[in-house]
Amino acid sequence: MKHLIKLTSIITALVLITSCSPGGMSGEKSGPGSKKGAAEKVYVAPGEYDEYYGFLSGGFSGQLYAYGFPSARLLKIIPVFSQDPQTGYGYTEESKPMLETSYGFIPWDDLHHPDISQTNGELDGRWVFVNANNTPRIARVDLRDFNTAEIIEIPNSAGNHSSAFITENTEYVVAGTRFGVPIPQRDMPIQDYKGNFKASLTFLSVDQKTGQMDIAFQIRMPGFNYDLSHPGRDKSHGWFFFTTYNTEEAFTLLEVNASQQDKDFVAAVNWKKAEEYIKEGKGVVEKTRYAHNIYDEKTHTTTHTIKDKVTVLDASNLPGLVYLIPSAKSPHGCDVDPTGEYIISNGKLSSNLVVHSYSKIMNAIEKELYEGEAYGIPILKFEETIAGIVEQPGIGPLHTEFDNKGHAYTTFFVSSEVVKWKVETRQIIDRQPAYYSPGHLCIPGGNSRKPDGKYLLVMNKITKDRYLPVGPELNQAGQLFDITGEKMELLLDFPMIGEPHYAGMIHADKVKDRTLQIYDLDENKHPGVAKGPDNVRVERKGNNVHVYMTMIRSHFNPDNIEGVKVGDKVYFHVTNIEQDYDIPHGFAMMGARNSEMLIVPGKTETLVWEPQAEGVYPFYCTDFCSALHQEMQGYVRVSPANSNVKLTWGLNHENYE
Amino acid sequence: MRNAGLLMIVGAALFLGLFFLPLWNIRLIAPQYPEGLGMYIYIDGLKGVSKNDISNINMLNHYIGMKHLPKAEDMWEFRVFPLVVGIMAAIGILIGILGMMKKVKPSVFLIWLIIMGILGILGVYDFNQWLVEYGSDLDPSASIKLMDESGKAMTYKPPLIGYQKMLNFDVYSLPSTGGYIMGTGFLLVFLAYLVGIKATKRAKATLVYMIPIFLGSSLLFSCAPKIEPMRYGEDECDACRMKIISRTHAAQLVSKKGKNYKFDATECMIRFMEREVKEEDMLHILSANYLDAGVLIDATKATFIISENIPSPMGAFLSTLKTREEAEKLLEEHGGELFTWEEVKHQLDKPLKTSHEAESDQTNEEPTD
Repeated sequence: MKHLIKLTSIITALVLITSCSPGGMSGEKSGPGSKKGAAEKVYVAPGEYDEYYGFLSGGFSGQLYAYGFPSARLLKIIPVFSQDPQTGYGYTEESKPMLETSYGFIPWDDLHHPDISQTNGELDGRWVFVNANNTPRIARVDLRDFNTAEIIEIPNSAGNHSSAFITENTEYVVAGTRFGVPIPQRDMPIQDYKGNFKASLTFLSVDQKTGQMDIAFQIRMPGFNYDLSHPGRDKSHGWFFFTTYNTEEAFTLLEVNASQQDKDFVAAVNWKKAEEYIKEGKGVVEKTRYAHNIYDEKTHTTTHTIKDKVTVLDASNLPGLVYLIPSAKSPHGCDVDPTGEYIISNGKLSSNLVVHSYSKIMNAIEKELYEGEAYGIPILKFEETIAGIVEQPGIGPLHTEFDNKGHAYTTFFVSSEVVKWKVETRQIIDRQPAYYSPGHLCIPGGNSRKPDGKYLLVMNKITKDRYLPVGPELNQAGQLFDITGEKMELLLDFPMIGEPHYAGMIHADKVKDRTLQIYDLDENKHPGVAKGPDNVRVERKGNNVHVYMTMIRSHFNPDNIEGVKVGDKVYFHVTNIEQDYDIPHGFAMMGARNSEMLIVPGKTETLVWEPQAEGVYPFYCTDFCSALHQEMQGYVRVSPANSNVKLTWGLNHENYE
Repeated sequence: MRNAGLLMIVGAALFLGLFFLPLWNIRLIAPQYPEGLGMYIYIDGLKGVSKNDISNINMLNHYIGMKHLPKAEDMWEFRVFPLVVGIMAAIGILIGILGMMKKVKPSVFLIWLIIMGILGILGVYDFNQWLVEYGSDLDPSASIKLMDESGKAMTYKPPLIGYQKMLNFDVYSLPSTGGYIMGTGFLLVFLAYLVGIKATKRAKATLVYMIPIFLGSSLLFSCAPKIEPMRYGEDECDACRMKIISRTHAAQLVSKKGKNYKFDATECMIRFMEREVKEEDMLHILSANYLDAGVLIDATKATFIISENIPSPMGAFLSTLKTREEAEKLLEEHGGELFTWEEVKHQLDKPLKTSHEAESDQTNEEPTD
């Protein structure tokens, strides 16, 4: 008996020791290199390419970031909603119109959810769509040159969060409304929110050739907060699912007042039905104002136009357009599995994960199994829509993504872990800690019919002690897992920029061979282009001086300009006439109160400089272009406003007049 | 004679291929241009391998003061060559037809061949003249002016055929499809001549002499020996099968027959030469300059240092230097001993331990380190 007690205590002690050993949440840090194989799995030898492109949102940085995976090397910063002084995006005359809105020029936004274009439910690598949360907008990034090609403003909305997700043939990109507002905007008391504030779910059509977007229609909805969304796919193609919170319609202290009801809704939108209603003329054309900015790849110039009409379908009056599905309390992510059958609603304040079934939803709609209605929109019976519930999977589920073997992976913000479970059986297979508090996650193609279950990128919200400390503000931590095995294996930690909300990952083969190396100078139709010495000139139009300049290794033409006066506005129209890969030149003008321009071969861009005082001011190339890069410089002479100095320009003592 | 005439027609007609196939190809490869810049030489002008290659070559060449590559209208050759080739091909075809009709003797084929051959040689001579001029007629105000070893202003004539290192560029100049087609044309016309006179005794004598000459020259043509660029981190050592990593210790052999052997270390090359090949069969014996990473120099004229303070990839502590002065300076800093090529070969006569040999050859003497 004594022996037995001894033995038991030893075993208990052992169990205790093992359960506290490294790898646990409260134990020592685990991380890259902790297992020998991890380093090899993320090592991409110098000169070799990564297998995947990852497009990570920059959150409040306003930009999109292209990474290579599995190495997590940053390939490019793609400026979208924020000015970018390193390229001149948002500073040059050509790109400034891209950041125009109905409110005027806005130099920043909060970029949330990238979604890569699809054909037949598979990623095709043509475009990436992203949303601006603050001043509602959607942008399209062209993956031939990794540049922002278009930005369209979303009217009748506030907080475009449940966006910019696309349907499986890129027929539509959607935008939502996170903050209910008076529609149209007007002066009214905030406390009259309930029933008076509204929301819009906006469907933008995409031209399959050019990618150009247009607002096809808006669905007017009750003033709930529409949080995230995903398209139906395969069998459920034709539907779009949006999670909602604050169905209480609270307008103050939402953390309490919007968390009262036990259930919120998933709004199921039948967009094929919406198309029918539009055809039948049930849409109401409303006056509004929104910006539509399009980049022209021949003139390298963005055109900003204000549009003033939008077609609206009222969900309360058009039967069959929208159904409300009660779901786990305050759901965040709304994720549809690759078969299109299961819609996972990640109830962040619930301890359970609700798996809705598309077939059951259809059945409930057909048999009208309603438990009530909200503003004329039928509410389906909860039990009639669910396939099952993942019991006690963790605390604070946020987002779910899928692999190609029938597994789902869900992040849990509060319990700081990622959980792998089987979609069909709702059985939990593995759980791994994430450092710390994961938000979105991404599997290549994990939001399509054909996921590639190789890697899982988890984007954490809190960093704490993962890297060398750099003061109070820390970059957020990305973590890459290998998910080819039964258990998820942490491979790599890396700091990300801004706050990545979601990412799209795509096999490099679908993108890399379509990328441009140069812009063809022959096709440059910019009105200010100078293609060689014959077009180089300086012209005065009143107080505006236009310089038509070329840049090539290693000089500007002209590089001496005289006759500019204080009070003039000088437009440098600069063309990089190189036609060689990766030979950009920069242009920086001393005292210019904007930015530099980084001009890639074949492109023309324009910077405005308003000289303040007389003198002789240099300009130079900022990008080390050649062995004689330091020599790539020039001067502008600025004379007093009343001076008689003639406008002359030249290169190497040769004047062109 | 029917067959001979037919061969003559086909042979001469092949020359028409020069109107749409490039005669020659020049490729330029540099660290900044791993994919290479290149141009094709046609009988009526130059064309870039990729769309912008010609302008990009001009772009780079302006730093050293080279003229722009000529456009078709800038050189009389590009007008005259097509005329000559066209007329000669037409005459050749005509002769072939007449041959089929037994109106001309096979010796006429040979005369055509000789004339065409002379014209070809003149063409190559002219081409070489142009290369000399292009490479040496430099703008005196060029930004970059370099001196060669003897202190003369450097010129940049690309090789007529084969390989040359020019500044940061590896330059290859080789026949292209049109060139090979032209060679085949010459061969067929000669065959037409042989078939035509097959019956006569003189023919047999000619055959005995000419066929080996022709085959020999065509072999020479197709396997012109050239130095291959080292692909560090990819190529394997031909002696020890390890990846070639070190840019300061790699080595390469180019045989007179055009075969290349690459090595991760000079000691591997020396060991390989003892076992596998003869030094007299080698055209180039190259070893990386320790002080100029990635540049291969003539090992037979180099100076070698064995210093225990300068490790080399296969453990011989052997490094190669271009000049005796450099070697002496290194000797002062690191200690060791200097050798010439002849000396160093014997210095390593003792078996050199490589991991490959250590595993596979247990009978080896004890390790040298």
